[in-house]
Amino acid sequence: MTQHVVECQGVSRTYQDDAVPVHALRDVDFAVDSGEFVSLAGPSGSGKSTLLHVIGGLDRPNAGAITVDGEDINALGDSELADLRLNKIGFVFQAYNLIPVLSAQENVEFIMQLQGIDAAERGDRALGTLDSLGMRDLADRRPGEMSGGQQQRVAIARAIVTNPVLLLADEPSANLDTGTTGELLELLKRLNKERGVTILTATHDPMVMGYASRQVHLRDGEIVSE
Amino acid sequence: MAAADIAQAPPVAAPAATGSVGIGLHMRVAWRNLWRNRRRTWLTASGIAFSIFLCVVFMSFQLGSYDGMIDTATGMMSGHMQVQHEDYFDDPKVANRIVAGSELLRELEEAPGVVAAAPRVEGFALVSVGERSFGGLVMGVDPVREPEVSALSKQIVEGEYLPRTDSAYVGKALATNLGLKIGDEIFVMGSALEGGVAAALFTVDGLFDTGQVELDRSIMQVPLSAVQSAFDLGDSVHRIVLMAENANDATAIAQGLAPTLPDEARVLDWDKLLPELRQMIQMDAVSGLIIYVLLLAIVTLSVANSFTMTVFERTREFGMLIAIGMRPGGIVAMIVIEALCMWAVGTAIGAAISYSLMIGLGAVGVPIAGLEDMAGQFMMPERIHPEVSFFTLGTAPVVLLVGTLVAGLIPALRVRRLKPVEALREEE
Amino acid sequence: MPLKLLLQLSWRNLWRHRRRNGIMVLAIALAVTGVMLMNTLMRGMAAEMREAAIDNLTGHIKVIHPGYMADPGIGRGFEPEQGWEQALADVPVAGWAQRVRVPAVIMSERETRGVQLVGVDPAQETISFLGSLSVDGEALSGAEDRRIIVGATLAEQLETSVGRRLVIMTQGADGLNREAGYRIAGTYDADSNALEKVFVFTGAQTVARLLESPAVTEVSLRLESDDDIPLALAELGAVFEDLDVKAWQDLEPQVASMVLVADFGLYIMYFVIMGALVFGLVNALVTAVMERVRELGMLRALGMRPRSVVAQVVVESTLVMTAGVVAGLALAVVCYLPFSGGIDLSAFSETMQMMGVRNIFTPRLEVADMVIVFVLSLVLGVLASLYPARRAVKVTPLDAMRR
Repeated sequence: MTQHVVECQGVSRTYQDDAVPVHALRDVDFAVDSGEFVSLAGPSGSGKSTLLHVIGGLDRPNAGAITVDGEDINALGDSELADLRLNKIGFVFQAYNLIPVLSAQENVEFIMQLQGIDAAERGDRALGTLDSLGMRDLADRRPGEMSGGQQQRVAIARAIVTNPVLLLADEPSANLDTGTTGELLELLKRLNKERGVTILTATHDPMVMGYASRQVHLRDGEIVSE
Repeated sequence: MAAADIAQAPPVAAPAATGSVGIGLHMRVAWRNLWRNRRRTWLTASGIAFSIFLCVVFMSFQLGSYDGMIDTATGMMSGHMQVQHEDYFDDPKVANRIVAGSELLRELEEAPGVVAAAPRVEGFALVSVGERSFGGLVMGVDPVREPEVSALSKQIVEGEYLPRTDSAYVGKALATNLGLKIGDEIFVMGSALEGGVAAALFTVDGLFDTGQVELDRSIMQVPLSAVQSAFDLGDSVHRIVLMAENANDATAIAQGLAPTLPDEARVLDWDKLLPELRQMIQMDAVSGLIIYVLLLAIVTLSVANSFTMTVFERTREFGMLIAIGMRPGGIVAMIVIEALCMWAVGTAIGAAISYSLMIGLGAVGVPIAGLEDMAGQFMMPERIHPEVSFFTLGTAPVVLLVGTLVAGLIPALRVRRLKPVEALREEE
Repeated sequence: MPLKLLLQLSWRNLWRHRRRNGIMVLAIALAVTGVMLMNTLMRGMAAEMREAAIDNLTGHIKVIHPGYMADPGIGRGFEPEQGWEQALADVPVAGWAQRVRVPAVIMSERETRGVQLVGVDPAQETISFLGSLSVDGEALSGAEDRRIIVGATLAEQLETSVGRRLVIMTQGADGLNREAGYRIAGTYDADSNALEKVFVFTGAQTVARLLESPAVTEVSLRLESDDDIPLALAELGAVFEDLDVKAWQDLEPQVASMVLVADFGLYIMYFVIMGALVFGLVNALVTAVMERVRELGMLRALGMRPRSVVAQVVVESTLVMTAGVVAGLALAVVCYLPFSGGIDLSAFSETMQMMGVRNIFTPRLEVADMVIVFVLSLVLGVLASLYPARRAVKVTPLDAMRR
C-alpha cells in the first residue's frame, strides 16, 4: 500500500458566524498520494480554502483526523505545528507571499535559516533554485521591485528549496494576468513532473484546474466529484 | 444677473463648488475618523491625560508648598515685613536703632495693608543662672502684639507667655543646659548703648520648644520695656515686625510704606529678610520647569507620531478625496480638527482626575510624612495644601493644546504635496 | 530563530518607517538627555553639600560624648588614650584631628557675640576646611599658639582687626566662667559667612589652659572612601566604648537626606518622563504590528514559532529604545562637557551657602547613573513591547489569508 502524503478522514469544520453555524467542511474524506498534482475546485465558500488550511495546519478541524506525511495533526501543539509547516510543507499564497524587507535570495533562504542550515549551503541552494527557475538575476531585488508574477515565482522557489513533502498553493494565480498565470502553472507542472513535488492547490481558476493531474470539486463543504 | 444667481443658490452649493465643506461636517468626520483606530486614539489620549495629570499635580503641590514654606518661614520670626534702622540688617548692633519707636509703631499700625505690627529690641547677652552661664540673644517683645506676628509664643510647652514685666520666655534646650525650671531667676548681662554694662534680672515663666535645637538654646524673649531700660534704649526699637493679609502682598505694601518712614528707617519685605527662601523657591521652580517642558515636549512628539502614522495609513483615502474634488487644505483642516478632538479627549480625562484630586486635597492638605528633618531644615510646613488656581490647573492643558495643534499640522501639511494618482496606487 | 536573522529583520523593518521611528528616537533621546542633565545637577549639588558637611569640622566619622549634642561644653569632654589610632591600622584613613570645641562669648571693646571656640592642632587640620583656608595675617603655628583666628565677617561685626585683642568667656567643667584675652593672629575667608561668624580657632593647648582641662570634645576622622565607614565605625566603637562614634550621615541628617533625594530623584524623574513616553512607544509598536498582520500571518504559516514573533517585536522595541538612549546619553555628555569644570552660581549664593554649597558649582555626570538609565531603558523597551507582542502573537495565519 502506498503511503498517502495527506489523509483526511471525516473532517468537519464549523465556524460560528454571528451565532449562526457555518459548515465550511462536512465529513470530508480525502487523500493525496506522493507525486500527485491535485486541484481543489469550487466556488467561493465551497470549503476548498478551509480544506487547504486544515491540511496545512493553519486551522484546526472540529472533527475528523488528518495526517500529513504520517503525522497526526490533531496531536500536535502550536509550536509543533509550526515545525511541521517549516519542515514538511511549502506554501504559496495568493498575495503577500514575501517578506518585504528581504531580497528575493534572502526570502528564499529564510526558511532554511529557521531550519538552522548554515550560511554557505543556504546561499548555494537559494541561488541554485532561483537559477533553475530562471530568476538568478532577481536575487538581489526586494519584493517591491518585482512584478506580481516574479514575486509568485520567488515564493515558489522558497516553497520548494527545502524539498517539502507537500506544496500547498492557495489561489496562486489570483492576482496575475493570463500570460503570467500560464508561466506560473508551467513552472508548477515542471516541478511536479521533473522533481516529483506533490502539489495541492485550491482555486476557482479553470486554467489552474487544467494543469492538475486530478481535480476535486467541492460544494457546500462536501466533495461532490473527483 | 450672475450675482443674483449665486445669491439664490442653496447655501450648500457654495462650499461644494470650492471643494471644501462646512465646519460641522468637518467636526463630525474628524470625530469619526478619530475612532477608526480606537487603540491608537486611546493610547495617545492616555499619554496626554497622563502628562496633564502629572503637570497639574506637580504644579499644584509645588506652588502650594511655596505658600506653605513662605507662611511657615515668615511666621516663625521674621514676619512679612520689617521696619529697621537702615544699617541694622547688615550690622545688627544695639546702636543701629529707630529712636521714636512707639510713635512709628502707631503710624505703622494704621498704615494701609498692615494687619499687625509688633516692636522688638535685641541684644546679645550673657545669660547666667547661679554660676553657670551661656551666650544668647535676648529679645525684648510686646507680650500682646508679638503673638500676632510670630509663632514662637505658640510653641510653649510649659508655663505662661510673659505674664509679668520681669518674665522670661526661654527655650527648653537652654533651660536643660542651665538646669533651669519655671520660677527660677536668671541674670542677663550685655553691652548697653553707650558702652556701659546692661544688666537685668528675670524670672522664667514659660518654656518653648521649636524642634530646632539651635534656636531653642540661643534665644530668649522678655518684655520690651525691660530690655529698653537695661540697654539704655529709652523708646528706641530695633525692628517693627509687620504682617500683611497675604505674604504675596508684602512687596507692594512695603513700597507704599517706604516714603512715609523717618530718614534713618527702611522697610524690608520677606524677600529681603529671608533671601535664601526666595532663592530656594526660584531654584526649585526652575528644576520643576525643566520637568514640565520635557513632559509636554515628549507628549507633543508622541501626538505628532500618532498623526504621522495616521496620515501615512490614509494616503490612499486622501488621494481619493482629492480625486473627487476635496481641496488639500480641507484635508489639512480635517486632520487638525482630529488633533483637537484628540486633545479634548485626553485633557478631559487628565483634567477630570487631576482637578478633582487637587481640589479635594487643596481643601484638606497633605501631611508630609517622614520628612521632618527636611521640614525643619528647609522651612517646610507640616501639611502642604496644593494650590488650586487657573495657573496650576490651566497651564498644562493650554500648552498641550498648542503642542497638539502643531503636532497635527506638521504631518497634515504633507497632504498638500500628495498627487492623487500616486496616492491611489499606494498599497493599503 | 537565529539571532542574526531576528536582528536583520527588525533592523530593516525599523527603516521602513524612518519618520515614525525617527520621532520616537528623538523623543527618547530628549527625555534621556533631560533626565541625565537634571541628574548631573542634583548629583553635583548633593556631592558639594556632602563635601562641605564633611569639611566643616565633621569628617567622615566623629567621636563625641553622648551628651555633647544637647549640652555642648567641656563638661562633655573626654581624654582619648595615647595611640588609639593603632586600632585603625587596616582602614585607609586620610587623617584625624582631636579638638576642643565649646560655646563661648567673644567681646571686643564695642560688641559682643556668641561663637564656637575651637582648640586645634593645625598640623592635624588638613582634614577640614581649616587646612585650606586663606588667612589674612598669620595662621596658627601649632597647638601651643596662644593667638586666635577669627572669620572676616565676625571681625567686621566686632569692629576689630588683626593684631588687636578680644576677650573670650566660656565655662569650665565645673560650670564656672573662665575669661581671657587673646590677640588676633589672622582673619579667615570661608565659603560661607555663616562659618565665619561661628568658628573662632586657637591652639588646643591654649583652650586646655583656659578650661583647666586636658580633655577634648571631639575626635574627627577623614577616610579615603565612604565605603570604609562601617568598618571604621566598628573598630572605633571598640576603642571608645563609652562614647558615641557617629558617621557623617548621622551628624548631618539633612545633608544625608539630600544625598538620598538625589539618588531617588534619578528614578522619579526617569519614570515620570519615560512614563509619558511609553504611551507613544507602545502606539508606534502596535501600529507596526497591525500594519504587518499579513506579513506576520505569512511568517507563521511558513513555520515561524510564536515565540519568534514575540522576539521580533521585542527586538524592534529594544532597538528603538537603544538608539534613543545612546543618542540621549551622548547628547547629555556633549551638553555636560563645557560645564564639567563648574558653573558660577553667585546669583543663587545665599541658598547655596545655606545648603552648604560653594558659589562655583560643579555638576557631576556619573557613569553609574548613565548605566542605570541605559539598563532601565532596555527593561522599559521590553516592557513596552509586551502588549504589542501579544497582539502580534494573536495574529493567526488565517487572519493573514482573510485579509
